[in-house]
Amino acid sequence: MFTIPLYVILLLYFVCLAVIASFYLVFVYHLITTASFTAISAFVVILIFAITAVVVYFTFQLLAEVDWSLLMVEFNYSNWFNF
Amino acid sequence: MSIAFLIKQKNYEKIVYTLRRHWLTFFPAIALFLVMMSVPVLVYYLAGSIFPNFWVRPIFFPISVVLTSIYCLCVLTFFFFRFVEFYLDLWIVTNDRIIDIEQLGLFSRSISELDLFRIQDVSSEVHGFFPTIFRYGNVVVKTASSNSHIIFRNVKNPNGIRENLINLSHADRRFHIGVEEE
Repeated sequence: MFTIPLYVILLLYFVCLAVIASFYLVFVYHLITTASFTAISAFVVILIFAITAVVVYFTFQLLAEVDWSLLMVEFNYSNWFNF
Repeated sequence: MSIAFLIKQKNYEKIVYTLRRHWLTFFPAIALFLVMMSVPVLVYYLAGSIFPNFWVRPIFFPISVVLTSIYCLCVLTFFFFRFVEFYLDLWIVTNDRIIDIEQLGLFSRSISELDLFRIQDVSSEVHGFFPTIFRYGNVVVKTASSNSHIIFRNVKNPNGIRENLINLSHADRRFHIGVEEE
């Protein structure tokens, strides 16, 4: 029997967070190395970081009660070969 | 990092202008960001009214929360990318040269320079309703060489910049002629 537990979704979410964090780092690096880290860009960076923090915080708040051991997909392939 | 370090400012050089696009040209990106961020809220209310039991299911709720969160983070990343692309386009005018720095995507940049005494023609263009009202437009700087020109895109007060560029160009030409005669 092949099953996909629900926590796979959580793992995928963490991968997405890592990818997005790396993009953010590249953007901030660009702003700093091109003499573009001014008051305006600092404000935008702080605003984006704050919205991101709010999104992630509320995501984990909503997911706090979830039972991650539930099965999302279940394939019982042993039946496939029983003719 | 400072602009002086970025352009390797010479000791006799003075920065006259540091130009970026007018903030209003970034407004479509802000509007698109707001529309895209409001999509999950609309979907939540629509799904709630059409399928009232949708959120009750133990599997659907966490999946939809995670997918919505990923969507919001992707929209934020896209908005950040658009801002960086907008803000990293920079034109620096000194009393000696013009430096055009253009960000082309995330990992591509082009930097070109033009000596002020080589300027042959400077023209400004203001097209459209908003550019006319908010006084922004393009400044096209051309040299004698047909393939060498710089365009300041959507900068504030293009007519004033054009006049100042012409004056700076004349001053630099006088300086260079003086140097050559010596």
